[in-house]
Amino acid sequence: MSSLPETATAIAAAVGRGELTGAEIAEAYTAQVERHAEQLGTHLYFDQDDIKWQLRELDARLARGESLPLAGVPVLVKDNICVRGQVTTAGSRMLANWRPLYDATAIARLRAAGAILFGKANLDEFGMGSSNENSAFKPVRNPWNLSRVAGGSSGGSAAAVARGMVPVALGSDTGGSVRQPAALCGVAGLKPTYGRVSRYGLIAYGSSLDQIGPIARHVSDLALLLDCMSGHDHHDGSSLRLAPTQATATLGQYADLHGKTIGIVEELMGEGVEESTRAAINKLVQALRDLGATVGTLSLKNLKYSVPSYYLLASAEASSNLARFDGVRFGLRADTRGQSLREMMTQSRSQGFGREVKQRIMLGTFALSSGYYDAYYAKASKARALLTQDFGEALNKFDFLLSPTYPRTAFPLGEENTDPLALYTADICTLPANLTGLPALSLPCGFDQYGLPIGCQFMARHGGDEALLSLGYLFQKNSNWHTCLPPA
Amino acid sequence: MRGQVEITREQVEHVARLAHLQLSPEEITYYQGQLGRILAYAQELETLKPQQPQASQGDLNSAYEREDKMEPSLAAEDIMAGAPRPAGTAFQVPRFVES
Repeated sequence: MSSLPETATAIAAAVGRGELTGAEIAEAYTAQVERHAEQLGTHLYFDQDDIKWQLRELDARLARGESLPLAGVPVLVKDNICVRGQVTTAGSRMLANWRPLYDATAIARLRAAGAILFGKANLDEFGMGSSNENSAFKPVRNPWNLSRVAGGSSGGSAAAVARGMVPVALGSDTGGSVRQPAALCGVAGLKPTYGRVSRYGLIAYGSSLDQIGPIARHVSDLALLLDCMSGHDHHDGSSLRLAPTQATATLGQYADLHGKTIGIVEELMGEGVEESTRAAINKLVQALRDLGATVGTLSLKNLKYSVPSYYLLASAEASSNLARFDGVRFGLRADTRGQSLREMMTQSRSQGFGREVKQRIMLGTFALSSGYYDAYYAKASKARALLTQDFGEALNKFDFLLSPTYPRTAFPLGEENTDPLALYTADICTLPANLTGLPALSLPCGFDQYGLPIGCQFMARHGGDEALLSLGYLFQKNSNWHTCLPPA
Repeated sequence: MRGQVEITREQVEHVARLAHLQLSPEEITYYQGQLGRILAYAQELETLKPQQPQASQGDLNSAYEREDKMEPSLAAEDIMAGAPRPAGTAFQVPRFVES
């Protein structure tokens, strides 16, 4: 491994110039997958024959003189994103044997850019969870400490990047599912502005919140992936009518942070935040000041509504989105011969969905049901609009907002999987970006006393993905947290 | 934290029926507790002031509709290949109209 380039950017350059072949890259990363995937539980699908087929395609395209920004770059894909012909389970028994007939738009664009799709990553079922213990198949373990969770729901993607099984991976983020596992595994993760990356082919959880995002060690690789995946797609009605980002070209736009203002969200630094995490953020503030930034604090009075608002709205959308899994057209069908259609649907859903998914479907059904809609769904929508307004105003005053990504570092497996509130309330730092549609970036910024990574989160204005990545790039140029590797 | 909202077993069963889920007696007890706790937490929304938020966002994407034109679609036989019980180009389901 040591002789091979480590970043996606360098891999694509070397393969593009013919200094290395895609096969050499794939062989090195396959060795890492074979060494670590089983122990960490990161992968749900890994097909070496398919990789070989993709490599032959790549060689043919390079031989034709095509210039490919992701030539030979292995990308692990969260298993709720459709890859044509590859089993795509969403971490659920419901889809245990389902093979999509089409590529998600993000996948089609990665293929077009020369990427090698390098397997499917484990996740919390349908993206519902923040510990990756809700996968129907197996939990993911944290490469920094095998008794700890990797975070979720994109736990397989984050852990695989942290362990060096791929340089980059795709996750999806409905309430923090890219950023939180990235933080807990000590890597970087981006939740783009809502609508930047097409949701076509992403198995829907909360459609007004879902966004596909990249995970990598290096911000420059996040930029490269976003540039390749973003841009308008008419298959997704919420896709922004914007050209692809130019994040790679603008990465170096900040020589320092003079003239930039950064706001620390007071409510996200208080009660419930571990001391080591708060200390790491305070150290980061000093580093940002040293780079010339003006750092202030702000209070967002409606922030307390974000957790109840999110869980009601996301669950309501999930109850509707997951209604399609009824055993009729695809997915699991329970064996109920001689019984009614309704019985077949009910049994299929009861056998196919796991405990947390049923919980959210029922919570959402309740919030939308007659007599409760105004008290729950309507109020949650209003809280969301207020939060959007508050964050908009805050980002008129500040260029970026700063908080921890998660109030604590990776917790022990099994610790919190029965108390819904312990896990839900801890999502308070990440939920606002989904409720408001704003872009948010998680970066490693330190370690706690047990050697577990700490993540910080920056948010930027609507559509400010490039600015956000430029800030992250400058931070990584001036720090080395992202170069720290988990113990062998 | 913030206690528990009283959710009856009947309410859990009603919601499960609406969601096409069948729950065991143990599951009903479990979700009674879980939903009660989550909904108690959601009471926080009761403290929302009656102020109206200003219209916001969406300004990057005002009312876009895609062009109404034909595009190639998936082949019926490919779709049927993934069906639990195909019958030609139809999805077979249990009888639901009494003869």
